[in-house]
Amino acid sequence: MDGDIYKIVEQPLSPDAVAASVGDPAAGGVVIFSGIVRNEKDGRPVKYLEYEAHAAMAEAKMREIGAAVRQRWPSVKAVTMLHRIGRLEIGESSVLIAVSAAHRREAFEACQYAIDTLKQRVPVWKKEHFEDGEVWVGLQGG
Amino acid sequence: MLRVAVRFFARYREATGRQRLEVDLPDGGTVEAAWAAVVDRHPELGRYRPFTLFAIGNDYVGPDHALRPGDELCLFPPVSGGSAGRSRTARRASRSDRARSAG
Repeated sequence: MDGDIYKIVEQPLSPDAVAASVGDPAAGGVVIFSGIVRNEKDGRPVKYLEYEAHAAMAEAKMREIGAAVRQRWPSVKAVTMLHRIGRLEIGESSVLIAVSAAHRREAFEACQYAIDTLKQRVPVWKKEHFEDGEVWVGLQGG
Repeated sequence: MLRVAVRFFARYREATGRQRLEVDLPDGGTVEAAWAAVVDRHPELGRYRPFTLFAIGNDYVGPDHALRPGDELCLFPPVSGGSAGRSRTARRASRSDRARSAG
């Protein structure tokens, strides 16, 4: 798993680059998840998003997720997890996860597990900017 | 006496207008005691206690964790990485993270 990549980045994310990063001659499938900035939240138009992270811990937690993936799906060949921070416009990718595996089923399952777990454990926060205000996601009830 | 640094993130950073704060605690002071010292200086954070995640280094810790000199305690609002996430996802996540750190 030395080749696996887990990074917080400030530059635009490239699906082609992450697909290439998990290339392996023994892989029969690559699954990529790309999380995209959506133009609305509960019917309210979103102008743009801002992401903030505890970068060192976020990278460590993504690496833990990758290790858990490899333990659970031994046929996984490579994992890349990238999360972008800073200001992101509508339609841009905030997170990219790529998993290559011997067979497609493991690649799909591992990729889904990786994004679901990322959203629960990785210290990244998102602020939604609307026409008439802004709100940090995750504490609306607070 | 025990001096620890506290780091604020996201909403907490904006609410307090600062990224860091140093607090002094009695020896053996816990994360919970540090939170109390922070709220003493920044009462505006008090209502967020049920939602808050704590971390030292790269690991989550529970409120009973004993702090050591030089520790840097991070105060996190519920995490909301990825995209297109709903707020209830983040709240569910914060509960499960607390359950983990309590265990």
